[in-house]
Amino acid sequence: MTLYSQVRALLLVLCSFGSLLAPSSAATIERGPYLQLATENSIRIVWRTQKKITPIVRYGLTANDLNMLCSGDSIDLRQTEKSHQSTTTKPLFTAPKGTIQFEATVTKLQPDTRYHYAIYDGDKRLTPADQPFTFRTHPEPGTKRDAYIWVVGDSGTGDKNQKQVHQALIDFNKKNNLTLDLYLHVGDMAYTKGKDNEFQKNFFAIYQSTLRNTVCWPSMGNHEGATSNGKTGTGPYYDAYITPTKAEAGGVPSGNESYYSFDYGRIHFVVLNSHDLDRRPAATMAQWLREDLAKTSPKKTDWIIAYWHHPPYTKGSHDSDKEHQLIEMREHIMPILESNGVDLVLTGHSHIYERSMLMDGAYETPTVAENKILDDGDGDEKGDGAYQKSPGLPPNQGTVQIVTGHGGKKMKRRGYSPVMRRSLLQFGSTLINVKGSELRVSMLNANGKIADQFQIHKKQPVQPTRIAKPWQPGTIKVGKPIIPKNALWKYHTFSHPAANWIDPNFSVAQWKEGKAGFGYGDNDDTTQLAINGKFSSVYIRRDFTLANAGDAQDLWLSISYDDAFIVYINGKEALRSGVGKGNGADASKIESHEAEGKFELFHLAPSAKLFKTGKNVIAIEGHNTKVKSSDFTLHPTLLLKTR
Amino acid sequence: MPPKLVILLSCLICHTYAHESPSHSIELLDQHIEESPTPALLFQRAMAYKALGKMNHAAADLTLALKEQPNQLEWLLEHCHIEFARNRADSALRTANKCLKLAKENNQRADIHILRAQAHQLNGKPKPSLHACQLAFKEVPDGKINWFLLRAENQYLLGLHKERIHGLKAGLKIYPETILKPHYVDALIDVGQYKHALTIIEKELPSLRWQAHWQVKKAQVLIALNRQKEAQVSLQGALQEINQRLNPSQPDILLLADRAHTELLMGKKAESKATLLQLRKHRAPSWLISRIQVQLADK
Repeated sequence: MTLYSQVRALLLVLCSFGSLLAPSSAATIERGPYLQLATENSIRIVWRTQKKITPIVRYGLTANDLNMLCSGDSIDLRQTEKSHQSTTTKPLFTAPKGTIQFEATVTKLQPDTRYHYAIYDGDKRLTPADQPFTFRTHPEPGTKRDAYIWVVGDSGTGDKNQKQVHQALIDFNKKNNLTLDLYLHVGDMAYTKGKDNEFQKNFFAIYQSTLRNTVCWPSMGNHEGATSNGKTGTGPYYDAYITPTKAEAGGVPSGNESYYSFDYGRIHFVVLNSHDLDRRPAATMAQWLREDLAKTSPKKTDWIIAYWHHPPYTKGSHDSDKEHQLIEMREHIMPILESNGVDLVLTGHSHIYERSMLMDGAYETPTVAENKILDDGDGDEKGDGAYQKSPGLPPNQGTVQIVTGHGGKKMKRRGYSPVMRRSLLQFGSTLINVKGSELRVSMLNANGKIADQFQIHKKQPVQPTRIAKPWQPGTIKVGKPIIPKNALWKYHTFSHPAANWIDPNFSVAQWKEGKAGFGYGDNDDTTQLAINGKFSSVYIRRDFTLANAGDAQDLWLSISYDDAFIVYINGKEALRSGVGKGNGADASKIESHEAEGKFELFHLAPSAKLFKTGKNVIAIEGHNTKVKSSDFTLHPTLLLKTR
Repeated sequence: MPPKLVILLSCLICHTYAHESPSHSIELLDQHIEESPTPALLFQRAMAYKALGKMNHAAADLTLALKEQPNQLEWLLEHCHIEFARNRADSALRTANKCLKLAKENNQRADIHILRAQAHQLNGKPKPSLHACQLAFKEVPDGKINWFLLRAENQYLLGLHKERIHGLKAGLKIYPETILKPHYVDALIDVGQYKHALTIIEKELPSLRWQAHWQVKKAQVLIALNRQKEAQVSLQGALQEINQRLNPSQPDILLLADRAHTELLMGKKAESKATLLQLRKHRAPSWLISRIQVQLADK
């Protein structure tokens, strides 16, 4: 025995002796409690401790009268393989040493009823009495009941953006006196690899106050897929969640934890695994999907909502025309969903908020919108009007796609998908309200503002017609150029200007003047800058006139750029793309972006308050990833959309 | 550079690129691989190529990575999947056999046996495919739904109908009311157990919003029981429903297969052949179209 192992053995003996003598310290809940797998008459409550307890869930109809008990065999214990004793439950894949996960099954509940609950170790209450711990059972399938649903994607950073998005929801609910019925997560909830400690820090710790009162129905993202396996149902993701495999909450049994369905009132939810299972149309998951949707009866269901991680349509941080999983979900899975009358598809993966028009049958690669759009309006009662579908679940009457990958991870846009009506680079989440024949959707941004909204109505029979040339995000033809292409700008390079260069009163009289675009390489710049190998930034400024400050709501920046830029309006930052941190000389984390002769559109409405009637000053700093880059481009224009 | 530092740097680079789009990751990884082609970076780039569907590039990078670290089970499994995607069954099988030697847990070994079974199936060899399936069930007796289906398909091709029915029935005990049920009914029809099949079909139909798939099965049984008129009613209903739901340019291939079958049973041989051509164009798997092919040839 080495000296090290002798010391270690001695310490172990002392520790165990000590623990026998010391008064047993109180158990604390390390994770949760959180809710899972609700049905109309049951729910699962899950929590973790670091020491053995006598687990009991007390529950009742009021917080002061928890007169019912769930204990004994109704609570499963799970531990990591070495310590796991149960033969009926799976061991935990990973967890900190000594962890015990308790999974209580509370049964014989009344449908659509709110219960209060508390976790006990024998007689000792572990959950604080001064905070709300409640759950609500599902209404009976087929029952008419409003539903309020929160949808989040790509959130698991643990950083301030994620927290802000969550806080915005809490504040919004408080202000509007709303209580969530369901929480859907479209994946990437625990960056970077979905490890147990990442789940703890970036998911359970952040959403604790919501998870204890609302069931989160998850779908697996690629980051969870780094440590969890959808085929075998093992890994930290499958440790954390209890999903229905035997149709416990409605639908057809999937026999697999990574894809499933459930009902809530008159809504049928379908959750798919787009990450690590066969996505082909004859594979097991697709066969199950057909069976499940074939059994979804319009007698009991008004709406079908499907969600998973990889978006069939996106031009955010990912491109659905280039990436295998995204293409397969579009080409193989969307035909099944649309021929079964799906209403809404929610996804993430692409770090952006994108929302489509009412569409059907857009399965080609690359995606085209011609003859695939059934309503090219904005879908908003306050704008072009709500999207209309026939009552029931008729096939091929249109789907709205939402990419809600803006829950916390840094965002990016690579272009505009031709089927998308909205494309916003704002952190936030998606809210769904279902009220009978109306489905209402809002995008709540991290600042607590509604940045997009639309509705689908199913009130009267509709004969869908396909639009040959629908609205296109990238071609604002009916628009007035406020700053046209090749406009004159003042520009400065080879050194960084004074910090106040964005101030409207700053004098740029000494700066050079040239026509946009500015840059070198690729033969796509009017004003050639000889900065290759010498300097990596350019600063440009000019005035423009706006007849009415309110027009800013319809103002778009159309810009060709390589690699990144920041826009300032009247001395305040309005927009940035590809500059991760800082500005001017301190700009860092510059991301590569090729101009490729294209102009990309950025809606300036979110910065509308910076504009004023009359003269305005726009200042833009352009940055290259490196001094020795082979090309550089900065060519901005400003368009006022008049349609 | 010391090896530990290279590994650390590789991990950091992989972490940085985990959120990038695959094209962007490749662009950035190219630079690092040019300077220092570590196996971890090559694996990362292979995964980015895989995400773009560029399987040849992915296979090339993975092969290089595996030369340096031949016992990385995760990488070998990825290699196996990529070889499947490239339709290279022999190579997938060789890699799966290597995986088998490295796998320690029953679950892992069972999954690898299923990969081997799929490789044999892709090679058109149902006998070794069935054997590999049986080995997977030895490792994990409860199996998975897709294992039961794969085993049943091999048994069908080998004419082991009793074993097929027995296997699917066992699967339905473990996974009741799942997609194993329509396959079980098909198996009953294939061996002429029409009445038993009809009982299940009649019980299933009222629960279905879309009935075409089951109406085709019902028609098959009714024709076999010489109840032609009733069969025609089922078939007409099925065809109407299928045509209502089918997207003409990008059809759901199971719906299309149901149409081919319906047309065949209605005696519309030319239409059925045309639908079969469409199925082939959309790369329908053999298990879906083999029966229609056989019956078309018979007629």
